[in-house]
Amino acid sequence: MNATTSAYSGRILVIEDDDSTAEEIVAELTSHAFQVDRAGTGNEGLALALSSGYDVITLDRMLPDIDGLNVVGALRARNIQTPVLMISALSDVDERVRGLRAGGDDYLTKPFASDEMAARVEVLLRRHAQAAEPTQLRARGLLLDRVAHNAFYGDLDLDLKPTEYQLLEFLMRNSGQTLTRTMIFEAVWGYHFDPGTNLIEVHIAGLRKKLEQAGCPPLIQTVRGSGYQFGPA
Amino acid sequence: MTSRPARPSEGSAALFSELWRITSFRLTALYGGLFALAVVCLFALIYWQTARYQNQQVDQILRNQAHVFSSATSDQLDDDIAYEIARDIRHISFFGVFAADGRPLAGNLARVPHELVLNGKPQALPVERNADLFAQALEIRALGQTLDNGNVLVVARDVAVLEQIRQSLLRGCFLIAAVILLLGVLGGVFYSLPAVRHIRGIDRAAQRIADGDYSQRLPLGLRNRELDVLAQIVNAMLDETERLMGEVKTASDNIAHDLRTPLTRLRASIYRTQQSLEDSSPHHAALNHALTQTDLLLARFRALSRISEIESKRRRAGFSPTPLQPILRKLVGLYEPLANQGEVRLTLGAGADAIVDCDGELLFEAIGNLLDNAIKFTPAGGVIRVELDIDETGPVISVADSGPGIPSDLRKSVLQRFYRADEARNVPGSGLGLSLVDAIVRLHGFDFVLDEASEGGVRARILCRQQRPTQ
Repeated sequence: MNATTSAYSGRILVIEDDDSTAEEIVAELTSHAFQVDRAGTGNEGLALALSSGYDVITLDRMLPDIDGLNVVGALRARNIQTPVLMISALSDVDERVRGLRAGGDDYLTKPFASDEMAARVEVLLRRHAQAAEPTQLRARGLLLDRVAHNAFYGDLDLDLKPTEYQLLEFLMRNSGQTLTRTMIFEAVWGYHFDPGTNLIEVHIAGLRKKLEQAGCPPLIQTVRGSGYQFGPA
Repeated sequence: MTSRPARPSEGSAALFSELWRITSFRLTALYGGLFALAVVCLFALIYWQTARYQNQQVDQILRNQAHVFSSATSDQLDDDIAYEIARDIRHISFFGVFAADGRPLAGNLARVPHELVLNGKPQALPVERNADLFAQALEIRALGQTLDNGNVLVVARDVAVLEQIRQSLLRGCFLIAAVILLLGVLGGVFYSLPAVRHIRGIDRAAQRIADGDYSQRLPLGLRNRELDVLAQIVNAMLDETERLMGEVKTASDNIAHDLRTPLTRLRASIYRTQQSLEDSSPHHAALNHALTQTDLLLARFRALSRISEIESKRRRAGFSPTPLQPILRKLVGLYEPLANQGEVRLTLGAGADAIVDCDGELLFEAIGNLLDNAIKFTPAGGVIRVELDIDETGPVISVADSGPGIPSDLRKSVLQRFYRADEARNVPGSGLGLSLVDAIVRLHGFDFVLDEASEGGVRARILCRQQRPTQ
């Protein structure tokens, strides 16, 4: 997959005081065909976010004027539900919890890989765009039943274990998007530490095997250097 | 982890032995004892003086009576004696006039008392030998003399009053001595309890410092000056130690932190280069390798930062009573495919659940690291057993494998950052996993023990000792 093609386009607001980090974010997001505005302070960011509609906001936790937590708080208090990706040098689990509790939708610690940041922005964008979650997801004859928590290829029951179901669901819901191992680990297992390289890989391998045994075409692609992506090759 | 000395119980015997170690208590008790002794001596002196004075008085009375009677005529003598006996309503005076052959002529004595020397001087009489004469008397002083007409005059007096005084003096003496001793001990307790409390505070703080919390300081008391001087010296030493340790840690943390940013940029540029290549490009393999290596480096720095983050974490905000079995089930589910890939069987022992006050996410991470290690080091065909037991110290989580094990002399070293046993050189890893486990376990106040599994490999155990409340 080429980094310049993106499943969705949208307007992104980057609130970041550090110039080099901001440049990096803006460059990466622009390369994903997003329209990007940047604010250097919390007040400026808040004014921009309030005046024009953005699809996603990336927000530095440590700003020179207002704490990032307060920026999210102010947005949510004005009933602005734009998804916010908080970016912070504070990696502590407690800080993550505080960030999410204040109204952030995702949390990324510095230093981060820019492709991971872009992947998270895309997931937020898509989640926001899907007004109602469908009860069934389909792709190439593969059907994911979100009520029965199972998947079928044609008439064949894939007989997925709970973890395998959650993994497939996360991949299918974000079909066409690159998902990093950390994102998968966070979404499926709910933990926020480094799962190591192999751990997620063997789970993906297991799922691939089940799909293959059912005769399903290969739908889970490996994105070199980044992670995985669901969708036809 | 250090072993803790048995905490002094709150029993009174234990409290007393604890008090006895306090100088001020011992001094107060000693002074109390000495003062009580002095009071006893004082009372003895008073008694002795009183007894002497009383005897002198009695003797004077006896001499006066003898003088009056001996100078009276025979007829007058009978009347005088009768008068004196009538006047003695307390019945403490005894008189007798006897003929030279011992026959009683007048008075209320039937015979001359035994062992009375007729020398005209007052003397003590042995009461037991003259019990028939002085029925209820306790102590008798008597005077006997031969009259001019050859008769014998005996004047005696019961000095029981003196004995009563002695008794009440003795009672008073013991009573006061007891009161003084009691006051001494109470005073000692009163003055020493703050010291005992202070020492307990020092004990607690020292225990926490020994457990690795270098931010603790010894408490200063209110009036235990000599303890405070020592505590201040120790505190100053701790300040310096903490500063030095902080510097070392900050230096290594800064290195880790500062290198992460350029490494991330390096990774980004490798990544971008790779993305810009045609799919058929022959450079993919080399770039992939570079990317993998950079990821490993980043993972190592992340782990290092994570350890220092956990070590510096003092808050227990993430702590809540958490059941352990669901965590273990989830972990086994997460690691089972990885184990199966290496043809290792991963089993979870059936057992009772236990609820522990912990940060579930951190505990998950710690046990996950243990499983990761076990899977790495267990050869194909091996087994890894995860178990939850409950022993007298609390719940025990154990991860045992059938791998090569860790020699007992290296078990301490493997907890050090970046330590890798020689046998582990060819196994990918950072050497930080067990340090991270140790940091998490220490944060919880649990114990982390490495020993040998019955399968021959490593048995790593987390002893979830239930916390005594710390304030």
